[in-house]
Amino acid sequence: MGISMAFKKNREKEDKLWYRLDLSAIVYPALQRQDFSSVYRLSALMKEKVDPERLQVALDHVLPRFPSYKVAIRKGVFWRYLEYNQRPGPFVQEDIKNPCMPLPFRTKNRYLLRVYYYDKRISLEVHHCLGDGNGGMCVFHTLLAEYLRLMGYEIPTGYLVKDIHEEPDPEETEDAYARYAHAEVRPPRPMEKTYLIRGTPEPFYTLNMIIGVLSAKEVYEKAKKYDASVTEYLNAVLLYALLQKQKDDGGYKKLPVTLAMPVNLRRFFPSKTLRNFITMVYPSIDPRLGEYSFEDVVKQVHHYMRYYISDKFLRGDITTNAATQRHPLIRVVPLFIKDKVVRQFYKMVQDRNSTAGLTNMGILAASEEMREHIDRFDICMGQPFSKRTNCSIITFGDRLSITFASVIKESDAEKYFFRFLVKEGIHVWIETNR
Amino acid sequence: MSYCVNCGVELETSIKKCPLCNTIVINPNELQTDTEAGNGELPFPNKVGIVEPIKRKDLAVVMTVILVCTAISCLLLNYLMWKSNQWSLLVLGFCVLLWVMTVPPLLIRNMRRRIMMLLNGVAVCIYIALIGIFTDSSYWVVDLGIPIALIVLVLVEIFLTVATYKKSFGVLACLFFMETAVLCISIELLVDHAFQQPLEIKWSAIVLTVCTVITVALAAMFSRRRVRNEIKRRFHL
Ligand SMILES: [Zn+2]
Repeated sequence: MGISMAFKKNREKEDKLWYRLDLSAIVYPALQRQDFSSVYRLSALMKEKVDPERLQVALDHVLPRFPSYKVAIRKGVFWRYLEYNQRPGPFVQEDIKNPCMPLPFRTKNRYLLRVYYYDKRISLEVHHCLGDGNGGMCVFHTLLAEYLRLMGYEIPTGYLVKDIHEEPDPEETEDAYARYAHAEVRPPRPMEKTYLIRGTPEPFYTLNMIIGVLSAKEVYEKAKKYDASVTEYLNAVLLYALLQKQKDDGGYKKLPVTLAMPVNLRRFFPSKTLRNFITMVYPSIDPRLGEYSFEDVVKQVHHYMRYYISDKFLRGDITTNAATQRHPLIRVVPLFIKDKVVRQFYKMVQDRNSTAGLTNMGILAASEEMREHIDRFDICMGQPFSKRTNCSIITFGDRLSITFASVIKESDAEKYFFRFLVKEGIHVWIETNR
Repeated sequence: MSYCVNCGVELETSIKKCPLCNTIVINPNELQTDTEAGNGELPFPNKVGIVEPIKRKDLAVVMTVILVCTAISCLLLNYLMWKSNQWSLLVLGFCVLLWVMTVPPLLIRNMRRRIMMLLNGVAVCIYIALIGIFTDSSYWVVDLGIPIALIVLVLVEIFLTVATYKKSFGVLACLFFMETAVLCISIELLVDHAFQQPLEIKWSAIVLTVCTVITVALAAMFSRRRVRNEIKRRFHL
């Protein structure tokens, strides 16, 4: 009796559970097309072959702990919203050749995440409207820990692993932008036409991934030689590769080469949120100013990052972004019109002011017990919206993994990038799904 | 363990071709026995994931139930209450027509458009014939109904074919107005023929003129940018 009452009460609570989309999450569903979704992937290469049945059990145990991930997306009149999803699922499935494929909102019992297994690899794919990579990584680590426990190992909570028996902290599901986007001015967004990669589009259902695995120590030593951090160094290498690519294209008009790099705002504004809390910075090199050597590029990126990535500038940036969403006249515009405007804006402006995407999640911390069973992590930013390439970096132990994802046949940017690293004396090991 | 001779990167054992520069991996020592490369376990399976289609079966079922109910209730009313004539056959025919037009595309994914068009055309023709039989006036079915239906079918098919290959809005708008003119002219000629009058273009001439003017204006408007670009290319300093 008592149990059924508690169950009923719980059920009622879940019925009422819904979330507004956070500031970043508004954009991703508006970009949804039949052949495009903003889906990112987190993968872990285990040391043993994966047992799918236990993985399913682990997933069933873990997901209720993260109510903002056990949701479906629905349309309101003015905004979309996330609604607690009580349907069965999601179900683990065998991995496929084309990761991050589109995720239509109404299929698979409306879940917005997928779990794959293949040989020794477990992968979690999340629609970006649920949360950013840092939030997703927390869910992923908790899932991996529970899976390892079911395999008979002792795995403690802590680091990114949450206790699945405790009540979720309300702060984990908050919209942290709303809490911090309160600067007194709204600095204008920098907008400049940039160099865009041209290439032959691949047919639908293709995502070309090239994964390069490096030694984190080697890269760190190299970066130190240029007085730069690993992120700054790899940013510079990619910018340099893209400069070279533009030169090779031989167009008569040169344009600046720009990267779009998400910054994890939790580093500057304390929040436990597992939803989106990132903003973009745009390190850029303008070849029209003159010939840049690699040292020049590193120096520029280094100073740009140190200058722009501060809590003051970032707060201004998110205030600018939040202003449009808060405007009372914009709020009352029907959703379908908002969608059209957002999509058009993204296509004409946002997508064109960067040449490629680059994200570095940094060094993953994990308990000693977890390290013993996991070889390497890979992350993939997912399918790029246009004909470009996305680069995602993560470090686990001494394994620094760089994943390029693109939907074009050519892989020149990747070629210049890895060849440069080889020339620098860094050993590169390549894996691909091509 | 193999390295790409061009890039200097180490390649995973299943790779047959460097993904960066497309150079084939060859071990000179094993040229005779074919290459050793490409024998490792693949890092990704070969199976391509396909997005699950959104369930449209429910809608098809609802549609079918509604149409069947309408048809049956009309039949019952016809034979039990108003027995004056067989008017319910017309409703029944109309229900069948609606069903043919709406339900198959919901059930069969990626149905070929041409097959669908053909099916719709046949259904419309049969329905027109049914009206003809019902009203005991078969002459207009043969002279007007079916020919007009066929012309509309052909024009729509042409429009859709062009739309799939040429996405330009200007071209489609021009085509639309041209087709309207063609349709009007054929209707007038068919009417003249049906009533045994001399074949003359009268009212449709007005439509033709208006449509031609609109088409020319549109064509000029949409091609202007192309012309401008062309001039810019030819005369650039
Ligand atoms: Zn190569």
